[in-house]
Amino acid sequence: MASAALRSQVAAKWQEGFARLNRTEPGISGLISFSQAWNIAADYLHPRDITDPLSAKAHGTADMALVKAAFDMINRSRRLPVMLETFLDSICNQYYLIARDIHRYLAQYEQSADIGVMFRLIYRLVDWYRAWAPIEELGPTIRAAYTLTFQTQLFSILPPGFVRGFKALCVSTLVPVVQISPFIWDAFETLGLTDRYEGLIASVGYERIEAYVHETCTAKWDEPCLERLRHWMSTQIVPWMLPMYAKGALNTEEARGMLQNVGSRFDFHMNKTLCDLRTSEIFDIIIDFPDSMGALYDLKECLQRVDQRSSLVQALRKANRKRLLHPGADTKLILSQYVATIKCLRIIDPPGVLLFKVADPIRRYLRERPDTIRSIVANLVGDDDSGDSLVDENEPIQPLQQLETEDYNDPNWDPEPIDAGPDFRTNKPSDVISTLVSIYDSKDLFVKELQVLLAQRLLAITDDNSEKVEKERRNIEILKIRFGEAALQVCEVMLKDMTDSKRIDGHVQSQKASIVHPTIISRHFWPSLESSDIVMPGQFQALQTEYAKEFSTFKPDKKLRWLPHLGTVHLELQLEDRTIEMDVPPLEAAFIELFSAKNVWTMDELISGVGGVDRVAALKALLTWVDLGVLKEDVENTFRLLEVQEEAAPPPRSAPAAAEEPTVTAAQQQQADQMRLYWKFIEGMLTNLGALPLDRIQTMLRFAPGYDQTVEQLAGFMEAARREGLVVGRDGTWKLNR
Amino acid sequence: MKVTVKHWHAVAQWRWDTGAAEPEGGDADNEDVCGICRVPYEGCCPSCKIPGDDCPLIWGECTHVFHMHCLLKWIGTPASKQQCPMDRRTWVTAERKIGNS
Amino acid sequence: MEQLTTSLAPPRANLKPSVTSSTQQVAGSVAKRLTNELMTLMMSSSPGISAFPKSDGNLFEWVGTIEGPSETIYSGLTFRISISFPANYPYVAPAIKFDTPCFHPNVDINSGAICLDILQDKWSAVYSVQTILLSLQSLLGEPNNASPLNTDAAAVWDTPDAFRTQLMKHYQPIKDTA
Repeated sequence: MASAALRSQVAAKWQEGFARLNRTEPGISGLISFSQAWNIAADYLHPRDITDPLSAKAHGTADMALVKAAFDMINRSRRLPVMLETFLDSICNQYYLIARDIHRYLAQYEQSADIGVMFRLIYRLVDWYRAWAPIEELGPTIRAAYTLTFQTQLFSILPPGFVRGFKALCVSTLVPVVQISPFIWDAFETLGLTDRYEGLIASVGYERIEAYVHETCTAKWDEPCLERLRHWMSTQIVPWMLPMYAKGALNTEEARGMLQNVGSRFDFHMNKTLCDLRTSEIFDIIIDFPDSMGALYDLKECLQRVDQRSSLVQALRKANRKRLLHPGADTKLILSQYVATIKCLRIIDPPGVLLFKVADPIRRYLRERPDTIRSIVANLVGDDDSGDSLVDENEPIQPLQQLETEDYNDPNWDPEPIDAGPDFRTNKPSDVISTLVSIYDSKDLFVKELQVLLAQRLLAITDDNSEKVEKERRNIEILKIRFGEAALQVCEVMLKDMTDSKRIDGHVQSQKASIVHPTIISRHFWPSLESSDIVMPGQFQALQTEYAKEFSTFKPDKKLRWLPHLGTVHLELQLEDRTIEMDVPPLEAAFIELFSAKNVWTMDELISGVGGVDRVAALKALLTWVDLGVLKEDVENTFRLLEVQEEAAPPPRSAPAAAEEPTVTAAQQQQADQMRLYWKFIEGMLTNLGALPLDRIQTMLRFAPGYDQTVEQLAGFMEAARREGLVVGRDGTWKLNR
Repeated sequence: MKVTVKHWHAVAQWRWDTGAAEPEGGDADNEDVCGICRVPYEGCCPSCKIPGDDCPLIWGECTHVFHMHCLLKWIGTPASKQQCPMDRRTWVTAERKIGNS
Repeated sequence: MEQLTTSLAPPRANLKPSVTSSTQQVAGSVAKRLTNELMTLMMSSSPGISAFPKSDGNLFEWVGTIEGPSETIYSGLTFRISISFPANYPYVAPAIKFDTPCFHPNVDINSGAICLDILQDKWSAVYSVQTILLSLQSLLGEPNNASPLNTDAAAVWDTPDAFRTQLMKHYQPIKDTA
């Protein structure tokens, strides 16, 4: 159905094609010579099997003049693109030859794990590439098309096993197992492997850095590592990077420029690796402080380079939760780790944001421990048995630093760091004591506990031991600098009572010698001492009365009121067959005094004999004598004096489990009553000032003595009052429910 | 058995002998305070820091007792008209126990 | 000890609005006595009288509340007063006036000024906020008509109905707002 027009069109096309191939040669001679040229060129380009020596040889002996003429003719006939296409097709067809080779090498490598095999494979591939490359004269376009096809084919047939071997080969360039020719990089480049496997090659570098950091820095905290690591990077990693990332650089200057970007990535990785390592070790680094200064300085520097602050905080908080803030840990241990944490984080992060975030949970935890204040205070006064002191002796003694509001007029004021949370308190570098005291919102509790501790220590000084009193005085002088003169005024009076007592006793003894040597204390200036109903029997009462009389003669406007449960009595018991001499508490002395009148007493008789004491305390005192073989409990609750020693029988019962009777009421116990007092104040302010918002109530409560609740605690308290129908809360303000 | 006390380290509190009957039953909380400063007698007046001999009491013939410093300050004000702040009788210091130590 | 109580460091959230408190500089001994009185007043349960400092920064200005004693003409009414302590308190009496208009022979209806001997020439250093509040409460039921500040009130005192009408005309109930 071809029309005449179509036919003529086809004919014209054909004529044009023919003319191009035949050129202007007579007949079809042009076409024939073109055909010859095509065959020569195609034969020359044909990808040969280089494993076949004949084929290789034939190629090597080709007449280059003839080949060039042939290509020239094809080019003139504008058939070069077709020739190229044919050539590239044949590459694909022949690629099985290379694949065969690759499999052979890889099988060998997998068997021997010999990196040399991989090395030879790479060069073998380069040989294939060179063997199949078209001649230079064909121009860069054809060359590029060839390279692309060759590489595409290569990548498509490389089995997964190759990647493993290739990585091993790259590793060996970094840590030479066998001396590898530096020209291997040129081979990689030729085969396009550097671009193709850029990530893999970089990971070899990263992994090397990680391995090296872990190997040389783990648990080595005394010296900073960064400097050494940088040196290592510049002598070991940078030279390795040069052929890949700075290829073609003409001089070191140019190479440096080319390396800048990738070098910075490697340096970052080194920093991050060290930072991660130190982050994972941070808890132990803190334990090791101050022998871990090097690690802390490294960490500080790394954190400036790598933004890992929040993971450091998380890691440390987690470690603290797991290893520190649990019931098994000793308060003293928590405190010393807390202090070390403060010191360490202050090195890492001087503004104190990290510290605040990490310290806050520890502080909260410590606040809930009943013995925290006591531990801190014991440390403040340098309790002899406290072992390691939390406080660095070299730390200058300075006044407590209160957490102040921000002073924007302060020329040294800095805005809070960007990751500071809303609760962040500017923690200006302050001394350890201040930080310890700041675990609590007020220093009142400390001063109270300090008094309690001082009272215990002063009352324990039995003999005329002015040296011990002097030691306490020195302590108080130091604490005055910290807490302020006024806060410790009470302690001053306590100390004065000690010296006054001695002076008064000196006078009384000179008038009328007595074996009683009392410590005479000023009430209101000593912590509330538990009262007691004990009335000392027999000669003890006589001794008291006599001394008190002499005292009033000396100080006519004053009289003495005994605190009979406090103090120590040095006794001598003369029994039929033995004499016992010892120091006992007054209650023990009172009981044994009763036995000098009759030999057998029941528990009830004994208790009323000393004017009243609780049974647990009474039993404890009596068991002291039972243990000493002075009394015997024949029948339960009936005690007999052993004038003559009996065979030591096993103790009839063990001391009651009741806790040591505390002589001094702990400051925290008094806290309990405080809430009732606070309510009275809240009621008072709401009556007179009307409805008040919570924070106003909180600030007004500072009029209540010793108020130390947080606003959150107050909110809970108001909520409880609301449930009891005492107050009404609306829109954040509270008023009395009337 | 014979019990011999060799040494007794006792503890006592001193109290002012105000002549008032000793309230039995230990530390009664409703103890006597100076009517002027509201601080207990055994404490010290607002201008003192050390209690006792350094901040003594003063007795009036009307039997009212104050910290000496508080009373002298009151007597020093024109409003006092030299009267005892308790009963507004003219203040006469009892010759009793001042500076007797 | 007042230094301790004023040095409480509440959480930062509260610190900012109350900067004044840290600058609270009060004459120590007077503050001590006032703190003591506040404590006593809070702990005692005298019905119908109460007082509290106006702000946390100043212990010398208080607000008081007095309920009219039952079985008096003031029964059921509540009066606000302001109390201002001098620096030499308690050697000098505090200045006191009614903030709630109080129709009473011894109270100036406009200024709230009070004529009460213990606040003037009969003042004694042993008096306290509590004694003053109690005296004022009893003054409501038992005026001193001999020296009236408000002669109108003194004149109608003996006619309770007329007095009550006047009283209620001036009285303004306390609004329970801060």
